[in-house]
Amino acid sequence: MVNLNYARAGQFISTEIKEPLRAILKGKRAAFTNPDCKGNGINSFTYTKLGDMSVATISYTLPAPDSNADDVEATDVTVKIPVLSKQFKLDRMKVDAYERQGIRFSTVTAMAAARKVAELEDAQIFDGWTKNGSDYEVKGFFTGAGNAITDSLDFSTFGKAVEAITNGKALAEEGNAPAESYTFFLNPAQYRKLESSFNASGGWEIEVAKRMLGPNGSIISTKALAPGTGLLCPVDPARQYIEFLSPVAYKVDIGFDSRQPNYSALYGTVLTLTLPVIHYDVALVKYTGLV
Amino acid sequence: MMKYVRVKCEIARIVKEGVPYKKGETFTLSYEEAKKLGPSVSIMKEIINVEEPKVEKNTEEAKIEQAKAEEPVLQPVEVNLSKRGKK
Repeated sequence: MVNLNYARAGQFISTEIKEPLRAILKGKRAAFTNPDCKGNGINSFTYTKLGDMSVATISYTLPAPDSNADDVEATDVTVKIPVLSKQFKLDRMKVDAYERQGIRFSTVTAMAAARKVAELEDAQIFDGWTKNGSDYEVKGFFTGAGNAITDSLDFSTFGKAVEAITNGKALAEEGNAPAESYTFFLNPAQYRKLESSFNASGGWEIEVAKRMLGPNGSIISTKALAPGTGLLCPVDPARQYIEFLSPVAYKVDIGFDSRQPNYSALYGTVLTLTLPVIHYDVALVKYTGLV
Repeated sequence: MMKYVRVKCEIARIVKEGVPYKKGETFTLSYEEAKKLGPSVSIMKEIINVEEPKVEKNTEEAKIEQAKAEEPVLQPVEVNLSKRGKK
């Protein structure tokens, strides 16, 4: 009998890959995901973008109907959500054994595929996506940052990382994008330097840096950022500056070749839909001169 | 010898050597730095094989100075008046 439904095996793989993926996925820690954009079949999403408005008024009297008629200007923006996927193959007999008897099977190929999708997702989150290599379909948080610091800052010198954070926070705040906490993304080379930076009295710079990033702030090392670069992201649970649209997150679909329904190998697909959205780019500060 | 480029700032602010450049202002960067900045800058002109140009802010004063420097200099032309009217 042909087993047409491999949903259980797909569910098993999804559960198996979740934990290792959590360690790989760094970009997803940059922003919060929009809870209204969830479920299959969503490939575009419309959100409302606020424009600028004049200052509010202060007086001892209640406002007349048209006294402050400059309404909050809002425009609808529709964005397409890209699909990131990678296929893999599974041993038919092992999956059949799992479906019938619950015998666990190796998920290494699925994990490898999921890892590739995760790497691509991280690249998209920071660098965005260009179809032709030059025009951006999607701007990532790094490419789309509204502030940039190109100053040469050598993180092996004590104080330079703290200087980078101070200057970055100042730029965001000057641009009316303050945040209580920040996430500081660094290439592993700079992260290692910061990790081992201490002063003559034994003070670790990373401790000072973490304190400066606020109560929910953190420093994250990611290969998705090129050497010598970094990104300061606000921790923005209200999603007023940045957010993710991710209607489907790491689903595994399994099928077989219908020309050979009983004996064909099984084909799996790891799939995720993710789009980084920048509502106010001034909140993001990128660094291009880190040493 | 390095390759430098004149770029236009396309984002809210770019800080180079402590000097902030606002959107629309121009400044000079090494080609490598410009590549790292990606779409945050647009390359206006390539300056090949020169020493690093001095960092200068694109202020009104700088613009006036640049305009003065680019003004065509009028060269004196010798005119032989004695030959005028002769056939």
